[in-house]
Amino acid sequence: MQRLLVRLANLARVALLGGTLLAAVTAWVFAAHPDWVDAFDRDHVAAYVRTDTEALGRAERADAPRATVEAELLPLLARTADVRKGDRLAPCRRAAFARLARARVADGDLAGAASVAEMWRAFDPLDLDATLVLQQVTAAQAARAPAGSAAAEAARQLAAELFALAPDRERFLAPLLVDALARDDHGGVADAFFTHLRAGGTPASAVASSGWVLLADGGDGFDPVRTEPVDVRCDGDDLRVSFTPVHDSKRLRLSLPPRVAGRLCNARFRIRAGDQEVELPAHQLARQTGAAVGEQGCHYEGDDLVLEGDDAPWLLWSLGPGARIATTWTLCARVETPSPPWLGWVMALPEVGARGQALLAADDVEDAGARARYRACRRTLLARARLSLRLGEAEPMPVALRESGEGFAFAADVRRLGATRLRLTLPALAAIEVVASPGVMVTGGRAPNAVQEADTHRPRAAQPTLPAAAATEGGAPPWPWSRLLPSAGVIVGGVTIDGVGLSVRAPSAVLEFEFSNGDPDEFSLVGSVR
Amino acid sequence: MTTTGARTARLLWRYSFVLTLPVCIALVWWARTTWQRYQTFRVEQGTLEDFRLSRVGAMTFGELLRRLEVDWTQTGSRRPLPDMRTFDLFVPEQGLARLDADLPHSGFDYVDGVLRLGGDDWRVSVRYRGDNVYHWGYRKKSWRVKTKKARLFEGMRAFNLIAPRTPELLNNYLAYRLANRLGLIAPRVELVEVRVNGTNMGVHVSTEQLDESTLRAQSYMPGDLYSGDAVAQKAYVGIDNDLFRYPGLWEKQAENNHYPTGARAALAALLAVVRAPASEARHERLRQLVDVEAFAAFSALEILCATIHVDTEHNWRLFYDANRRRFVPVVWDLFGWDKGNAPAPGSGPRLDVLSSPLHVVLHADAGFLAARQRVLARFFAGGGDAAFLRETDAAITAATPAVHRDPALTMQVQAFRPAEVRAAMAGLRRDIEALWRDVARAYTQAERPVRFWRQGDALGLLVDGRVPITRLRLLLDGPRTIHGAALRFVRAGEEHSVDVSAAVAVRGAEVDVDLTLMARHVPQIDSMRTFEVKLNRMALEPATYELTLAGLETEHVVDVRCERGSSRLERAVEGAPQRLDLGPMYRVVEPRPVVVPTVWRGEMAVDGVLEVATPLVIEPGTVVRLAPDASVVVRGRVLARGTEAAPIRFEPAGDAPWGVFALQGRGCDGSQFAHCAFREGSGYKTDLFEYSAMLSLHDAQGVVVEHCILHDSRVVDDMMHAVYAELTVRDCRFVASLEDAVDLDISQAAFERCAFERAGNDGLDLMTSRVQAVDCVFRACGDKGISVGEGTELQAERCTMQGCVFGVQVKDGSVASLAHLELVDNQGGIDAYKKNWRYGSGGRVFVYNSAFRGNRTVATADKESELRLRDCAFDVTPLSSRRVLVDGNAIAGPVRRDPRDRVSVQPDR
Repeated sequence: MQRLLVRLANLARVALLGGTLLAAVTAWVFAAHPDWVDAFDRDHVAAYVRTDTEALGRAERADAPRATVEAELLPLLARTADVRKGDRLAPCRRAAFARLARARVADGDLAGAASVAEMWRAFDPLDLDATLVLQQVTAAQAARAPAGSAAAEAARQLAAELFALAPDRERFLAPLLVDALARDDHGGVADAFFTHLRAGGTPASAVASSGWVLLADGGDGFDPVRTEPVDVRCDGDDLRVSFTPVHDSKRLRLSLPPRVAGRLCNARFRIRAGDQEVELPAHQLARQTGAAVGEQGCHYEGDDLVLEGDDAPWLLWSLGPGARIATTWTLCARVETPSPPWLGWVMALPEVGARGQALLAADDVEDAGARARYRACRRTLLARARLSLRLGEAEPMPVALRESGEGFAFAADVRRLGATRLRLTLPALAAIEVVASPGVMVTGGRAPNAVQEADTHRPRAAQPTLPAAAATEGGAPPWPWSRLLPSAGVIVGGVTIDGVGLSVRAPSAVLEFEFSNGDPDEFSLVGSVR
Repeated sequence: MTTTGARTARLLWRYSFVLTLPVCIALVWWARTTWQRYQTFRVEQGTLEDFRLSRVGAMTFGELLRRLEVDWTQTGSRRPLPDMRTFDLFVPEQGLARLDADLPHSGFDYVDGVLRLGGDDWRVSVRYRGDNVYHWGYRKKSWRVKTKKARLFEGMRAFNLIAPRTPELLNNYLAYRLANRLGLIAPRVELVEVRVNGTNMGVHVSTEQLDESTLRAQSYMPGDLYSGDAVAQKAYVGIDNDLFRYPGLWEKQAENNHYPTGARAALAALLAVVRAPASEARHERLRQLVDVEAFAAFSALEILCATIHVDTEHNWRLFYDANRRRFVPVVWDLFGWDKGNAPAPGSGPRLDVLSSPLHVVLHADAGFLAARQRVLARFFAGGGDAAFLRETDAAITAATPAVHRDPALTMQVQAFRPAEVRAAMAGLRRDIEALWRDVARAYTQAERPVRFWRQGDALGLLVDGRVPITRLRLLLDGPRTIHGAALRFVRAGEEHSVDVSAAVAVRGAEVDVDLTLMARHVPQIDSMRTFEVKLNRMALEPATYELTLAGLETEHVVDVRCERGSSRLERAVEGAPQRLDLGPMYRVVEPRPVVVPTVWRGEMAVDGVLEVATPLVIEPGTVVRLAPDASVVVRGRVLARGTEAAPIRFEPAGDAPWGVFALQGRGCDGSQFAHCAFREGSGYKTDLFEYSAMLSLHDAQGVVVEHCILHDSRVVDDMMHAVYAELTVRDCRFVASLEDAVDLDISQAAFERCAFERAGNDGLDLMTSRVQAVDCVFRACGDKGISVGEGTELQAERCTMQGCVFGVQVKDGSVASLAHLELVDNQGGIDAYKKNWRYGSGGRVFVYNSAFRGNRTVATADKESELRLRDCAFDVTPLSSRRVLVDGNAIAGPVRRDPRDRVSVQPDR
């Protein structure tokens, strides 16, 4: 027994000695080789996030089907259920929510997307992207439901609060606006909107904000140019950014406002040296300055400079000798910031449309600013509107809108249809009057039957036929909408016909024509949008 | 030998555990602690501080040594410290376990505990606090302590015990103390030692949690206190967390309860100004919205503290004082003298702090720059620097013994030794002294003399450097007469001329011009992002001005002297003419025209809201007829002195009530109303401010109201309201007010021979005021004759309260001293109680030689209050008790006051 105890004691002594040696080795490693510890540290941290980042990577592939996305991300979300904002895995969890919601929206599963967005928002109530997804889904669902009929004042106040918010921030309250729209049947939202326009709302203020900084490199690296600050002026949507480079600069870097997404349309530089001034598109500056250019967080599309909403965007020029004598550079452009989510819904209100038309028709000086801003809102939406023609089951052909006077014009000229069905997708703007006069030209064929469908989710309406008198033979006068589409009462989902005009108020309104008696030889559609 | 060696080896082997066992225990503790911390704060969370394994291991080892040292060498650590209080927190172990369960997330839910200090206990709720890991990642935590409403801790409902984050320990403590010296609103702060369940946790900084009580304690009316912190857990994802773009990013720590909860019109207005394009109009609006002097002091504080910690995303606290209609900055978490944000070596001190868009806008305002220079010059000239350095020395002396026994000197992922901390504190003191030497030199010592020249009828002046001209003296060749003065300057390529006639004083052959002229200051902004703002600075260049004095040819000017930052006049040097642009500076010189008072006489009709910026003289016999809701807001001195035969009347123009006649601001000091009659007015309220009485006095001193009558107020609470005011009211009558006849907030007032009759509510309603009422009568008031509340001091003599609900009611830390009163036929004579939990006690009342007759109850007090009646006469003598003490010669039976001598009280015979 005693020998056993002695042996145990010795064993303990050995263990303790081993522990002591281990302590000594540990102390030596930490003291003499902290780089070994740091290498372990880096590997360990990388391993901690590897599983989830790899799963995200697989799910983020553009061609990943919904099933793959769900298979990768649902386990990720389960694994990270205890993760909270601020934790290392929080960005993975956030990205997983975003990807999953996107996949479900793309798949038409709005309820599923909403549930993901709800979970996402519960994870971080201050994540406005979660809110944005939720309100988009809610809006899509709300568009299917009939509007409510109460609390116009509440709706007006809510809307006013929303309109008053700066770009980006309004996303936070956008779901509330959906409620407001649903409850408002007395024009409260329209009141708030026009009050907002008259007060000078929707300027391109984010782009005009501070954040434009000029840095010059005389050979020792970039330093801010302190002698003259960059002068930024924004008049409505017109932006002018002027700056004066230091005389002996070899390179110039212009920092742009961070985290602003938008488009500087027709961006041009006016470069003044002495009495001479040169004006050229911004993207051609490289050739003129004689050296390379670079950019980060923005890129050129034709004459437009697209701001990507990057954290630290800039433009860079290496200056040739010719450019170094330039005294003043001025960047001129028209700003198009992304339209806020509410703009489409608000502009689609019939009340807003009617009052907007009245505003445009008036010529009083007091409302000149509001008129310009209203026009800018329409232009912003129209620039993103989907006006397209679809022949049969073929891919839709985009129909370009171009500015014309107070409104926009479009023309689609289809010489040989080769199909019996033609679908026209119109922008979701109540304020727009689509006038088809001289309008729809159907030549060479026999009279078409028109079938209209305002919402792809609705059953197709009965197919009325045109009055016999409407059937024309080759080269007959153009048909106004009201003749092509037999009766206003048939059209549902927010599309109404008034004389030669056609108003659209529901999002994604679709008109579909079916030529039951044979193809027309030629179908050209000319219209204007006011 | 072999035998001896073997025996020694055996002996060593046998007793090796004496060494190896402690080492192994230490190894296990170290490994476990290191791994837990590393896993939590490095692997699972990406914290701001560098929790790499190598650093965590070294830190934990240092902590272990420090704990062993403290435990084994300092047996007397429970002795009280000579200059520092020790806060004992007792938190049940399961409470602590709950807080530590899943840091940091678990640490922010309150658990119950007890705070003990000086043998007194408070039941409290405690939790960890702070956005960053240095508040909860080490053994020493930062705590939030919240008391019960029924028992506040030294007037505070909530306060923080903050663990210092750098070995200098005193950064925030000293910054707050300096803020106090500069007259800014700042939380109460104290260096304390904290023990948790009896275990010493070392030095903390006790810091008041800002709320409404902070404002009240610093003599501000409760109002909107905005908190701008959009970082860490409070940061939004998906937008730029720029506080100055989005009003919605701000929270409120106190609310103005006269507006809906969450209303933030004032903040939205301020942010709109900040975002507006630069223009003179923007700066005009800015002046209307911010207290420039207070922001100048705040900016001076930032320079003196070398801090850029109040930036675009966090640490903003702004109080909107609706009664002064101005924003005031509140100091929070400046983290002064932070080495991490110090300017680059060799670049000199940071003489301007441009860390947010609001800073940038303010720095484009010449008036703001001049005010800041005055604050700094006053601070150095008045010995503020020396006094503060003495306070710093005292703080270091007080902290040293606590540091010596502090077992948790772990900061910045490093375990410090007491000697290192003491050296860091001494280094901080040296840094402050060195910085202030540079700041004082830059802001108070002009480098180059002012230059002047004669050019036509104008006297040109060139100003250079940070020290402005604050006064000019022109020495003439003989006495001259001057009819006016104008100052010309060029700004952004355009010439401007400002009338400064009122700034000129002629004394024989000397002309003094009282103007502040700045050099050209141009903000140079590299970035508005946190941490990068340290690169922003102001560029200074010379500026020129041209002074034209009407009636004076410049050849008569013999010499030019100027005052720059001190009262000493220095000689200007004559030079060649120049013209330099002031660039993007606004409000360069305040216009100072000779002010012509506005005069009203005869019949005066007012429609809408009339703002009068000049002094206003209302002649005797004037009748001011105000349309429905029409109001007059005056910002200059008012002299409305009617006569008994020709009183001045303020009347409604129709049947509906008019709004207010209001005095706003210190420009109204010394206003006088005599023989005026106000009737059927109401109030005036906008999104930004409110006047709650038909005669409203806001922030005006030395106002006299005599022989006036105010009656039949409508719609709003008060008939006359004064806030931040000092006034004397004599021989006035206040009749039939809708609610309170007179309401005073944070004011001083004397009422003599006034009558308050048929008030719908109180005759005199007092909050945090010092008031004297003599020979006044309060009759048939719907509630109290005098309501003494919220820390008011009242002295009332020879007053009568008759037919009121209560004659006098005293509450919430107020003290009333009442003598020779007559309280007749009231429902309650005198009452004292506690109503508002923000005040630690009820009312204290001392009543001397007064008569009580026909009151349903004579005197009542709750358990928080005290009421003493001495030498009084009663028809029914109240029973003396612990709360209501009746002593002296109490006279029982029917009483009346002697008509010949109102002082004495005699039994009715």
